[in-house]
Amino acid sequence: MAAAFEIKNLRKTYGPRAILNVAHAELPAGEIIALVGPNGCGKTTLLECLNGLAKPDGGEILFFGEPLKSASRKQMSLVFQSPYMFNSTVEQNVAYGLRARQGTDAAAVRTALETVRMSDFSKRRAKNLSGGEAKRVAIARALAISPRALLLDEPTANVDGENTAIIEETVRSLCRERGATVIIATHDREQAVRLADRVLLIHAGNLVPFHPDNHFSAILSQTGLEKLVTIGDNLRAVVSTPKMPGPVSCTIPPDEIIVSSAPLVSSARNCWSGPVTGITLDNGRVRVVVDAGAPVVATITRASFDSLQPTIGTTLYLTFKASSVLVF
Amino acid sequence: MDFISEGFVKSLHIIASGDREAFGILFLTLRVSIIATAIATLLGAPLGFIIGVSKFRGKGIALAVLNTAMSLPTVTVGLIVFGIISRRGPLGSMGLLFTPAAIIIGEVILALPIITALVCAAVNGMDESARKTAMTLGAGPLRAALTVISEARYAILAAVVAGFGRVIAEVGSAMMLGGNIRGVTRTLTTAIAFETGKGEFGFSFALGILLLLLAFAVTGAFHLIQRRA
Repeated sequence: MAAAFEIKNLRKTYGPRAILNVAHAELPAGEIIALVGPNGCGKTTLLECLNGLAKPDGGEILFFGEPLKSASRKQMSLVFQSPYMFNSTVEQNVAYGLRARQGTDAAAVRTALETVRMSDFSKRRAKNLSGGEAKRVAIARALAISPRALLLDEPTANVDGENTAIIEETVRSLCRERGATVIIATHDREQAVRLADRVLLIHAGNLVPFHPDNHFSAILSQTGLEKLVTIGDNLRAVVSTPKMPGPVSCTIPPDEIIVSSAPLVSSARNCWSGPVTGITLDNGRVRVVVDAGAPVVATITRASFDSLQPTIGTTLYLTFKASSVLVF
Repeated sequence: MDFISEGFVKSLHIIASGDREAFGILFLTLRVSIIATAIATLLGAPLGFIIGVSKFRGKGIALAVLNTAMSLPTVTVGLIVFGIISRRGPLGSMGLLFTPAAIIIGEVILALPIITALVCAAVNGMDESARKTAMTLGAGPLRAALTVISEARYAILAAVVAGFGRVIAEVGSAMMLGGNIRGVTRTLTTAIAFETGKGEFGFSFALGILLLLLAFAVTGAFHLIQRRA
């Protein structure tokens, strides 16, 4: 099956600032895909581009193999972080998308409201709902049109625990039971890992795979032209980033770390070492955890593992390039 | 001071007896004001919407001109239209001067900037996400535009009421263009000015009370609609 979205050389700028610069990415159909990244990294812009609301400055987006056009928008919906409620009842809000398609399907409206557990609110004025309730109604409004793809921008930001649980359950059932593709932009990495089949990080405008491991809070400093992140008290790494010194988050993809039993002489700027504290199998690859001052995960092939033969307590060296450290 | 109390008592008698002339003036005033407001709304509401939602070079200047035009002096409008529709003017052959149509033309010009500017402000003040939300739910540009208008309906209604308030209360343009001809172009405001000049305070008071009641009825109806909403 074609990917729900295929992005090719997508560029979007605001003034002199390039927000998005995605060379190529595929968002598979029928999956929950989370886009993570800090505020202002371009998550909302990417969702608006995918929905056709924002026009890219360059590149192309394919929706189920077809170039994105206005008709594509009828097959998907985007729910904003602060959803706008039309000045009518909850029921009329949910029916809006159906009316826009020249149809009124009372059963679809009822089912959508039941899915987000808002049936009892159907006659209420939508403007009078709380933030969490409004988000649930906005999702119901999108569900009513049976979208092939649902784009959610920070669906649980500023929402209490109960509403968050309902929204997450709705997202799961939409994907599992109806086979829809759900793309969620969130700054909550834990939610992304918990909910999504695939997590992508928006880094410097590009989409890169996000690994739940090796995420650190760090302090970025600069000495001459060299930039360093300091994790904890004394774990340091040379990085390559345009960010200014100060508190940052950083991540090192586990499969970009070279594992060796002795220090390597290489062009890579970083080499950490420490004892092995965990070894697990992960989809045919071996996940090795090394205590280098903080637990660091590296994934290696089974063959590499067999040649190194590490055991718990063995000292290993972790070598990685400055450009492998994603700072955001 | 007696003339005031006497005039007031006389005015109540005129209203209670359903004086034909007074009510004839009231109905003519209503007719020209409603027609002028309707025309100004038909022209001004779409214009205000387009200016409100569009982004174009010189939009700030256009808004400044509109806002200035909201306080156009009525006599200036009367003077300009008089020049155009008087016998020697470019539209003199149409014989519009001193007819209800002439009053309507002047009042449309007075109400148009008010309705346009207030509709523009209403649409501008609308959350941009109203239009975007409509589009994310499959609405085309036209339906999305209609949705924004529907969402701003009470603010648009307020613009229309403000336009109506302007035309029903103005005297300068109606006097110059209508000529205050009894039974033909005599409106509440021109009649009040005329009768007061003649010393007919009772009749003036009666017309003044009718004008106030009219204004009160319109704003009352507006508030009722808003409260129901």
